[in-house]
Amino acid sequence: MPQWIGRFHNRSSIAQFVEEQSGQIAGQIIQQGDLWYLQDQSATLELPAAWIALLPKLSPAWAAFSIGPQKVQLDYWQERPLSGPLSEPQTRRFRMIQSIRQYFLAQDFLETDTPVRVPNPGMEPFLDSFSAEAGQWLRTSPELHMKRLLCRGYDRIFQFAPSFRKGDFSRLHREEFLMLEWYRSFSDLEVLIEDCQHLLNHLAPQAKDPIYFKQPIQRITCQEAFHKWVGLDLRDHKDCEPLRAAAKLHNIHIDPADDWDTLYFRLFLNLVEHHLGQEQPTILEDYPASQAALAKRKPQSGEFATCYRFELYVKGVELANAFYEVCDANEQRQRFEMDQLERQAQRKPVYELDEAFLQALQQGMPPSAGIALGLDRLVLVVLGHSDLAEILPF
Amino acid sequence: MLRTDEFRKKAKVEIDGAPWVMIDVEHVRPGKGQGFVRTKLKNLVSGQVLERTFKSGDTVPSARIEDVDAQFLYASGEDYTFMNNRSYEQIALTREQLGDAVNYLYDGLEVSISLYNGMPISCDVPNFVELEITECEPGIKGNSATNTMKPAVLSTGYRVNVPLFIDQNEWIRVDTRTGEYSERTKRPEGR
Repeated sequence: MPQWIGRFHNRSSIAQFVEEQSGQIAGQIIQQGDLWYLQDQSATLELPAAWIALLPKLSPAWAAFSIGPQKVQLDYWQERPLSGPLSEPQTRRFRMIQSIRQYFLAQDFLETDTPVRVPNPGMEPFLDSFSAEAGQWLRTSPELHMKRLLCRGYDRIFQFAPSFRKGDFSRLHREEFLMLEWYRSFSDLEVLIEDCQHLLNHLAPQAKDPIYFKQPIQRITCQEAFHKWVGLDLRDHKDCEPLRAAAKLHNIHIDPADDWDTLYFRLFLNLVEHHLGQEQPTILEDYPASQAALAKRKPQSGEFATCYRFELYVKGVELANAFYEVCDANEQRQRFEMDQLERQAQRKPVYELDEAFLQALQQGMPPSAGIALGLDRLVLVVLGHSDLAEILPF
Repeated sequence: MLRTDEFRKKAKVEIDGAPWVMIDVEHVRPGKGQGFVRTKLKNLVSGQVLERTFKSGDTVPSARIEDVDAQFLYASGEDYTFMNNRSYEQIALTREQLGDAVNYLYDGLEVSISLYNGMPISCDVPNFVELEITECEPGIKGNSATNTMKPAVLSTGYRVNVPLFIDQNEWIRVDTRTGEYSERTKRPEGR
């Protein structure tokens, strides 16, 4: 069987062959009912008996024939697995991306793209970036550029954004991953929660457990979650003692040097996170003000300061993070400067402030809400797998 | 010292003065916050299992486990005495530390003993050990079926099922990983 089909450059369409009755054609051999066909992008041709006789085996394959006035010759034949790639999780991931894109387009969102190699990859003190030469980095998320689009008046935008975080590798992490971000101006977090609900419903028919994805999203605040699973009422932000006592009670190891947020995370990871989204998709909301990142702080009503931030959990997996965005340039600058100090303290590269972004804020960003969703993780939970290695095509 | 980014399954670390082996390691990063590593650890001395979360960047001392070749000398009560083949020093292990290995010990058996800070914590026996049958019903000649079994007692006192054709005072090879009969064998030289 020849492995070389390089002559296939001039006449390779079935449609043309049918017209001229000679030439070279390549296509898939498929079965429909009792009959076998050769199919390419132009047409479908029932396989003549003389051609079938040339095949090593009658099975789904792809093949190439040379057809002259006197003879037919088989140039190439390769069997294809019966199931084909269509049922593989990798293919379903491609399809799901397509279907999510259609969903957002139908909602009148504009699909955008923003630079991947940037001078400021994101200020989060705990994320590490890949250097991309000449003071440039690979973005950890498209957030700052998406917000610059909001400032220019784009009020409903989304992006499938390849993003990069150095050193993150586990069952649920990859150093390069696909982030789905979407933003709405003149809207608050309530509308984003509705978006999440509709998106999960939209994907339900493709899910391994469709009933789960059709359920209403459950909402729980951080305070309620800690009350329920840690037995701790989150109150004062500076007082670490109640958190230390709770850790001791639950036999969770802590370091004497742990600050409030570290203690919070230790309790959260060991006692809370695995409960989230087990019965139905769950929004964890009202994050501690110290974890606001780029979210607006809430006007404080009780003893505990919180912010407009939520995360979406499905079956214990953190899928998305949403902010009601800070749009005050001065406050944003202050937060970035805090991040710079923190990065310096951790001896990490300290990025220059993104002045273009701050200037855009200065000129005015409409009140907006934005959300970043780990697309590979979404596919993972919809298909009912537990390790990204099972669903990623590469 | 092991840093959290070097944590792997089977890594051996020392915590609170005891040796632990990692049986599960998972890196997590809640939100965009600081990273943590969730681990499941097993105590190499007591077998106790523990879950512990480390902050990314934390370090833990690796446990210094040394494996030495030794041979079995004798048992006395709950204590089992071995000899270090290189230094000729005696090493004592308890029945509990030996676990299933106790079923296969005979005079001169070559084993591998794990030492933690010079203290013996466990003993590995070879995958196959030859032992003599001291008690069983007479063998049925010609019955070569290996799927019908009868009980037998070995020279170490260990009870095992053997095929019907095996006779008393015959020697068999036991798979120590499963604890089951493997095949009939000849009396090894010098035993």
